Amino acid sequence: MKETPEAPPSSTNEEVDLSKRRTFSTLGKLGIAAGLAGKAPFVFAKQKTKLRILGTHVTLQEELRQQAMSDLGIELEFEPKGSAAVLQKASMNPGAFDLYEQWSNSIRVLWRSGSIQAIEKKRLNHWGEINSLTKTGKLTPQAKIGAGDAPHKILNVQGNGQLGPPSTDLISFMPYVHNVDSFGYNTNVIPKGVPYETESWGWLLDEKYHGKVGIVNAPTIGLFDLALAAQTRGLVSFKDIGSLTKKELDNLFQVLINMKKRGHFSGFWTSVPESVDFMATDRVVIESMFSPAVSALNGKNIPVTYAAPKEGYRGWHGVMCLSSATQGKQKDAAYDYMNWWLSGWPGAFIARQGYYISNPERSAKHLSQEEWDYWYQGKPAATELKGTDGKISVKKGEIRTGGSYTKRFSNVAVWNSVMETYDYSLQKWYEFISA
Amino acid sequence: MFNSLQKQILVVLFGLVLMLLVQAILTQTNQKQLTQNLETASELASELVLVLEIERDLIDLQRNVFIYKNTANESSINHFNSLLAGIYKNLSEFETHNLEQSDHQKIASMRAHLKDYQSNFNSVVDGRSQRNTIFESKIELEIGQLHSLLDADTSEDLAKQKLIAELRNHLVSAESLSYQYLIEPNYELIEQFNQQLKAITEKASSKALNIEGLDKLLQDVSRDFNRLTQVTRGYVFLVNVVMAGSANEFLYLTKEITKEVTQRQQEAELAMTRSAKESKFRNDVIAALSIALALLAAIYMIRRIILPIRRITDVFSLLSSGEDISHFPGNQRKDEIGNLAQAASVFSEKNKQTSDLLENTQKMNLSLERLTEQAQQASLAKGEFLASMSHEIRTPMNSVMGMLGLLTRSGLNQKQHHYANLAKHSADALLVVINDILDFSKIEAGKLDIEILDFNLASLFSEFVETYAILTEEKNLELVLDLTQVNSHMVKGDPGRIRQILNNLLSNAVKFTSQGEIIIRARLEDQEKHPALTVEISDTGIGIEPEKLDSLFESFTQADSSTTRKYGGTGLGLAITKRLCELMNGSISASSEPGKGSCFSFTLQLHNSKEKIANLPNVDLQGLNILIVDDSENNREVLSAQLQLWGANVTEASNGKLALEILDHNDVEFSAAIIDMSMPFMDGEELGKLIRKDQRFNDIHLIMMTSISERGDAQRFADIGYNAYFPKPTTISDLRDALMVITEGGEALVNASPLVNRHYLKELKKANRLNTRILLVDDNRINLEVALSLLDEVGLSADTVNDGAEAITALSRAPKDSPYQFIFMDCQMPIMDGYEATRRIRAGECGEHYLSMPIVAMTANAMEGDREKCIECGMNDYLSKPIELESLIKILRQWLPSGLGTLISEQQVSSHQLEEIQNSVPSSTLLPNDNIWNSQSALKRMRGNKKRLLRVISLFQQSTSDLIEQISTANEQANYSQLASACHGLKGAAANIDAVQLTEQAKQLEQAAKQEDVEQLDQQLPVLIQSYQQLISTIELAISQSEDIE
Repeated sequence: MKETPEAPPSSTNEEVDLSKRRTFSTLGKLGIAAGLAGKAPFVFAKQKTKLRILGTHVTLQEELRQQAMSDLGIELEFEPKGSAAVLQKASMNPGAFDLYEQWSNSIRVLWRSGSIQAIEKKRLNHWGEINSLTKTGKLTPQAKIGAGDAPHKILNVQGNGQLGPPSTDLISFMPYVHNVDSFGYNTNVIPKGVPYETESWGWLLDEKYHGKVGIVNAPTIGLFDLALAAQTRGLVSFKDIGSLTKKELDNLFQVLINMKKRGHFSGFWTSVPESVDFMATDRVVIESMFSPAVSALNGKNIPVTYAAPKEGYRGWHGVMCLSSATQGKQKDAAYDYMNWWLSGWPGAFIARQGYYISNPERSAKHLSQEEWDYWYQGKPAATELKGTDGKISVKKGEIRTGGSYTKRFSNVAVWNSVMETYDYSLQKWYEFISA
Repeated sequence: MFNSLQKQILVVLFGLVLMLLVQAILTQTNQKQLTQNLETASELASELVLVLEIERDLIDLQRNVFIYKNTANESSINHFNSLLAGIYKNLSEFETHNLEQSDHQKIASMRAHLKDYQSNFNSVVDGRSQRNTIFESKIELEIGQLHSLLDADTSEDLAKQKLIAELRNHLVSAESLSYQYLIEPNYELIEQFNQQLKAITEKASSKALNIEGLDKLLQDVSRDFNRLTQVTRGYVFLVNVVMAGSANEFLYLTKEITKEVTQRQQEAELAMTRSAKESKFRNDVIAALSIALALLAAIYMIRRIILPIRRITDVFSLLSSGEDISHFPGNQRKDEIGNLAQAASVFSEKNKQTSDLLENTQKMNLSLERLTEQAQQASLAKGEFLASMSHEIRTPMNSVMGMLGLLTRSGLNQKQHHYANLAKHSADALLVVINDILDFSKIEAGKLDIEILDFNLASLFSEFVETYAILTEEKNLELVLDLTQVNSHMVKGDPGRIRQILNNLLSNAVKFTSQGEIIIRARLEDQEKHPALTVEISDTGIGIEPEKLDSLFESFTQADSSTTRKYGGTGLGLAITKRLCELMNGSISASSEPGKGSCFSFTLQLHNSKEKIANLPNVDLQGLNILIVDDSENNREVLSAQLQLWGANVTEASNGKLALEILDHNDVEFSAAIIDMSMPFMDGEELGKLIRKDQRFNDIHLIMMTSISERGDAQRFADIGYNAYFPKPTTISDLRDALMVITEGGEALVNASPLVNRHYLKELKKANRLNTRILLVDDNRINLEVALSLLDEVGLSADTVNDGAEAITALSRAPKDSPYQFIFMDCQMPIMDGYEATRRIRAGECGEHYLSMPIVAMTANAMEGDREKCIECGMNDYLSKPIELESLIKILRQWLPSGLGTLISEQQVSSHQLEEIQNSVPSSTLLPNDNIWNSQSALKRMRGNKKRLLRVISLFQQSTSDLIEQISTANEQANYSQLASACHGLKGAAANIDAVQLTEQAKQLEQAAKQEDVEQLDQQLPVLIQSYQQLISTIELAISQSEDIE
C-alpha cells in the first residue's frame, strides 16, 4: 500500500527531548548526511543502532522517520509495503524486521505465528495516557463496541498465551494510530448528506452511482464496506457482521458479483494515492476511502466529503509490534521508538492527516487550538488548516465529518477483522474482483 | 488593355486553366487526406488489436496464475512467463504508436502493475513451494515422528494404550485435517487441527504420560502448521486479492485504452467521412464553378465573337453579291471584331470603287476596241499603200532606167553617152534608194515575209562572190571565200534575203576598202532543230570609229556624214540588214579598228533541208601533194583547208621564189601547183615559165588562179605551160572539177586546148548532158521555142509535148534506163493542164521513177496562190513567164539531180549578174523598156542570138494570128472560157518576145474573160487588137531591118 509520506519520529523523553532532540537532530542529520555521502563515519563516537521497521505507508512516513532519527539518534530503516505483503513477510520471517506497524487485523495472525513478542507495558512511558478505547473498548460509556476484532479484544496477552480483553502486563501491540473509515463522495455530484442521518453505507451500492463506485481492494476492509452497504440496503442480512458465515458470504458475494458483472464498480484501489486518483479523475464519485485521501482531494479543490454513515463507521486500530527476533540493543531502540511515537509530536503530525493517537492530550500541545478544535473536537475550523504537505486541507468553517473524536469512535459499526471465514472470503473476493 | 479579343479570350482561358489547377490541387489534397485518414484508421486498428491482445493475454495470465495456485504446475509458470513477455512486447509496440499523454501514463501504470504482478507471482511461486516444503519436510515429518513416538510406546498399560490410541486418533485426525487444509484452506480446519493438537497435549499431560519429545513435537507441528496456514494464506491472498486487484486494474486500463482507441477510431472515421464529404463538396463546388465559367466563356465567345463574325460574314456575302451595305455591325468595337467590321466597310468601299473601275474599264475597252479597229484599218491602209506605192514608184523608175539604158546603147556621141551614163547611174542610185525605202517600210510595217525554200548554201555563196569578182579585181582587192565550215549545202531559208544581206555587207566592204583583202567566212552549225549560219565579212578598209559602231545599224545613220558624200548610200542598208537578220531569228554585229579594217558578223537561223545529203562534192585527193602559191595568206588558207578536206597534202608558198625553193629542195612529188597570177615580184606567168623550164617538174600540173578579166589570155597561159586556169574567187566545184580532170589525166587533158577552163568544162559537161533528158510541156510553140533556146544556152536539150496528156504518154514511153530527169510544165494547157498532169505523175501513173522527178511549172500567173497551187499538185518549183535565163539556170541547178546541176555553167550566170550587181538591183525584177516590143530584151533573152530571135518573131507572127481570131470569135460567142484560154496563150507568147504592152493587155483581158466582165471585155478587146497590130508592124519592121544588119 502506498501511503502519504510520514513525519520523522520524535525523541524519547519530552524534557530531554527538546535539547537532546536538537543536538541529536543536528548530529543525526550530519551523520545521516555523512553516511549517505559515503564518507567514513568518523564524527560519531556512538555507533548508531539500526531499527528495521516493517509497516505501511500510513505510519512509515518519511517526515516521521527523519524526525525520529534526529530525535532518537538512531538509524531507522522503513520498509513500507502493502498490508498483505507486510503481514506475510512479518509472519514468515520475524528476523527481517524489528518493529511491525500495521492494523489490528493482523495481530491474531502474527501472534499465532509467533513472529511477535509481547510488549511490556511498564516499558511504555505513556501507557497511562492511552485512552480507554483500546483498554475497555469504549471511549464513552454509551459508545458502541464495533463488531469484529475490536482492539481491546486482542490487546492483552493472557496467561495461556492467547489474546483477550482482560488486562495483563503484556500486550501484543502498542496502540497508537487509529481512526474510523467510511466512504468519501464527491459533493459536486452527490449532494451532501447529513452525517449520521442521511449518509449511509448503502450509497455504495446505489444504482444512482452505477459505474462510479470504488472499493478498497482488501477483503478484511473493503468486504466490510460492502457488507455494511448490502446489509443497509437489505440485500443480505448478517448475524454478526464482524464474523460472517460461509453462507452469508455466499449471499453477499452473489449480490456483489452480480453488481460487479453489471459494471457497478469502476475500480478497486490498493493505495491511498490510487484512491485519490480515482476520485480526481472522476473515475468514481463515491468510494471507500481513507481520510488522508479525503484531505488530499480537498487540497486539490475536489469537494470530497468523508461520510459519517448512519450505520456507523468502520474502525481500525494501528498496531506497533515487536519482532520476536529483536533482542538487545535493537529491543531498547525499539522501545525508544515506541515511546517516541506517543511522545506527542508524531501524534500531532498524524492528527493533521486526520488520524487519532491513543494519547491525544499529549499531542494536543503540539497542535494549534484551531487544529485541536477541528481535528479532535469536531468544531468548525476557525481558520484554514494546512495538512502535513503544506497545502490547505481544511477550509475555514469546515466541520470534520462525523464530529468529534469521541463521537466518531462511539459510532463504530465494525472493526477491520480477519474473520474465521477469511480464507473463504479470499476465494469469494477473487471471484468478485475477477468478475 | 482588355480591348483586344485575343486578350479577353486569353483571360477566360487562363481562368479555366486556373480552375482546373485548383481542382487538381484539391484532388491532391483530398487524396493526401484520405491517405492520412486511412493510415490513422489502420494505426488505430492495429492499436486496438494490440490492446485487445494485451487484455486477452492478461486474462489468460490470471487464469494461469489461478491454475498454478491450485496445481503448482511448472508449465503454468512457463506459460505465465511467455504470456507476460507477450504482453510486454505488445505494450512496447503500443507505445511506438502516436499516443496521447494519458495513454502513456496508462501504459506506464500498466507496466508497473505488470511488474508488481510478476513479483507477486514470484512470491506466490515461492509461497507455494514453501507450503509444499513445510508440509512435506516439516509437518509430515513431524507427524510421522509423532506417530512413531506414539507407536514407540509399548507399555502394556491398558489405560495408557487407550490413551495412546486416543492420542493416535487425535493425531490421525489432525493429519487428515492438515490434508484437508491443503486441499481447501479453511479457518475451521485450522481450529480443528489446533484443537486436536491441544487435545493431544492436554490428554498427554493430564494422564501424566511422559512421552519424550511429544510436547516439543507437538509444538513444532503446531507452529509449522501455523506457518503453513500463514504461507498458504499469504499466497492465496496475493493471488486472490493483490494480483487479482492488479489484474483488474490492468484490465481497467486496457478497457480505458480500448475505449479511447475505439473513440479515436470513431472520431477518425467521422473525420474521414466528414473530410470526404467536405472534399466532395469542395470538388462539386469547383466543378460547378468550372462548368459555370466554361458556360460563361462559351456564352461570351458566342455573343462577342461568333455572332458578330456571323453577322459580318453575312455582310460580306451581301457585299460579294454586290449589294450596298450601309450598316456594319460591330463597327464601333475596338477589338478584332471591330477591325473586321471596319475591314467590311473598307471592302464595301472597295467594292464600289471596283464597280466604278469596271465601268470605266468597260468604257475604255470600248474606246480601245474602236481605236484598235482604227489602228488595224490604218495598218491595212498602210500595207495597201506600200504595195501600191511599191508598184507605183517602181514602174516609172523602171521606165526611166530602161529608157536610159536604151539611150546609152543607142547611137550617142561621147558627150551624150557620158550624160546618159551619168543619168543612168543616178537612176540606178535612185532605184537603190527607193528599194531600200520600200524594203524598210515593208519591214517596219511587218509586211516583209521571209520565204522558206530549199537552196544550196554553198552555191549561193559561190555565185554571189563571183558577181563581185570583177569589182574587187578592178580595185585590186583580194576576195577570199571560206566555206570550209559549211558541211551541208542544202538548207531551207530565204536565199534572196540572205543574198540581200551579203550584198549589203560586201558592197560596204568593197566600198570602204581601197587596198588589201576582203574575207568572207561562212559557218554552218547544226543546232538542235535549226542550223545556224554565221558569216563574217572582214576587210582591211578604213574602219569605223568605235563611237559610231553602236549606231551603225540604226536607220539613216552612216559612220560619217561625210561618207555619204564620198561613198554614197542611203544609210538604210545596215538597218534593213539588221532587221532581216532579226526576222530570220539572228543578229548582226560589227567590230572595227579605224584605219585597220572592219569585221561584220551576222547569224541566221535556217531550217533543215530534206535534201541534206545533196551536193557534197566528193573529191578524193587522198595522198596527192599540192603546192599553193599565193601572196594572199587568207586565200592560201582557204584553199589549203578545202584541199585538205579532200585529203590532199598541201604545201604553201607566199611567193614564186619560195615556191621554186620548195620544189627544188623537197623530196615530195607534187601532183599539182595552184599559182596565183597577180603576185608581187614574180607573177604567175613568170613562175610558170620558170617551173616549166625545169624538166624535173614536167609532171606537175599547173593551175592558174586569175581574175576574170584575163579571159582572153587563155592561150598565152597554155603556151607558158599551164594546164588550167580559174578565175578568182574559186568556187569549190570548179576547183574540184579541175583537179579531178588533172589528177585523172587521160584524154580529157590531152584534148584540152588550150587550157582547162570553164569553157572547156562547159563543153565537157555538154558531153555529159547526153544523159540529161528534159521534157518541155507547153501548148504554145513560141514558148517552147523560147525555152529550148534558153536550155541550149546552158548546153541542154529537151523534148517537147503540147499538153499534159502527151506529157504523161511521153514519160510512160521513156525507156527505163534513160528516163526523163526534168520536166518544165506549163500550167494552162488544153486537154490536160499542168496541175492535173503533175498530179497524175505524182500519183505514179508514169511509173515510180517520176514520183520524185523535178517538175517545174512555167506560168504566166506570177500571183500569190499560184505557187501554192503548183506545189500542192506536186510540182517542185515554178518559173514565171517570161522565163529569164538566170532563173532557168537557177532552177536547173537547184532541181537537176545531183551533179548535173553543177554542169550548168556559171559563167553565163555571172556575166548576167554582173550587170545586175553593178546596179544593185534584186534579181527578180523585170526590166520593161519599150512597151510595144522590147527587142533588146528579147534579144537578150535569146542570148544575143539574132537568128533565133528572128525565128521566134516569125513564129509569133504565125501563131498569134490564130489566137487573135479565136479571141474575137470567143467574145462574140460569149464563150468566156475559150476567150480566157486564148488570151492566156497570147499573153504567154507575147511575153516570150518581150511584147510588154500586149502581154499586159492580154493578161487583163484574160482576167476579164474569167470574170465574165462583159463591159470590160468590150472595152478592152479593141485595145488589145490595136496593140497587137502595132506589135506585128513593129516586128515586121525589125525583121526587115535585121536582114540588113546580118
